[in-house]
Amino acid sequence: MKIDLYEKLWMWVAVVIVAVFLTSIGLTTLGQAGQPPSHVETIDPTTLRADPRFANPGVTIHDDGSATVVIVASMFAFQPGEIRVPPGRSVTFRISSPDVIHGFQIVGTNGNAMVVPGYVSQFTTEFRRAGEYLIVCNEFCGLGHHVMYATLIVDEYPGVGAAGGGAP
Amino acid sequence: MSSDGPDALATESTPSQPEIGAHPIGTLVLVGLFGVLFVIGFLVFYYLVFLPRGPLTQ
Repeated sequence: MKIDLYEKLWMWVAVVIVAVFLTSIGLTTLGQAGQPPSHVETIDPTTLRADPRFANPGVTIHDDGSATVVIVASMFAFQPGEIRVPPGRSVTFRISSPDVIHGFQIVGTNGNAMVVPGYVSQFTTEFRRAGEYLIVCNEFCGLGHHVMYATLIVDEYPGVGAAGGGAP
Repeated sequence: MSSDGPDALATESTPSQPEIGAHPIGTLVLVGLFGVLFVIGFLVFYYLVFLPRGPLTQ
């Protein structure tokens, strides 16, 4: 089969580009021991607020200083609307919805999850910089979608010291 | 267009066919520039924005 020189050239360029991208992602993922969030946990959305896992949304600080944040995303608010976590500590977000699909994005970070009724979205991250972060719903969920937001405050937590140097 | 015979159409259209390999050099430069910027853009965002923000884990 006759392949034009330029066509052959761009085929190889495309292969090299894809190889560079995949190699970068693969090496850094292995280097950082990254594990993409793949948590699968179901929950009945009709009884979400009565379920012990989501009956009391809020922040729980564990003995090792890590935190678990339980959040209910519903039209058109996050509950709780203000979240305070310590810097430099492992923070696990657990989010679910009793009504429609919502988004959960912590602006300026990689924290981003889709919140689907019937499932518990969960991811763990760490905030090295103290400060105030905006949380928005990034899945259109209805007429009040644009007012669905919350605030994440990364600051010293009573009784929890900053680990890993805290804010740079 | 004349229709004098089966070879008439081929004879007429042959001169308008671009010569294989005769691509304008500007096209080559533009596509090359796109490729370079695309790769640089990906790597800059990946290494200077995405990774410093810290990973999400299970």
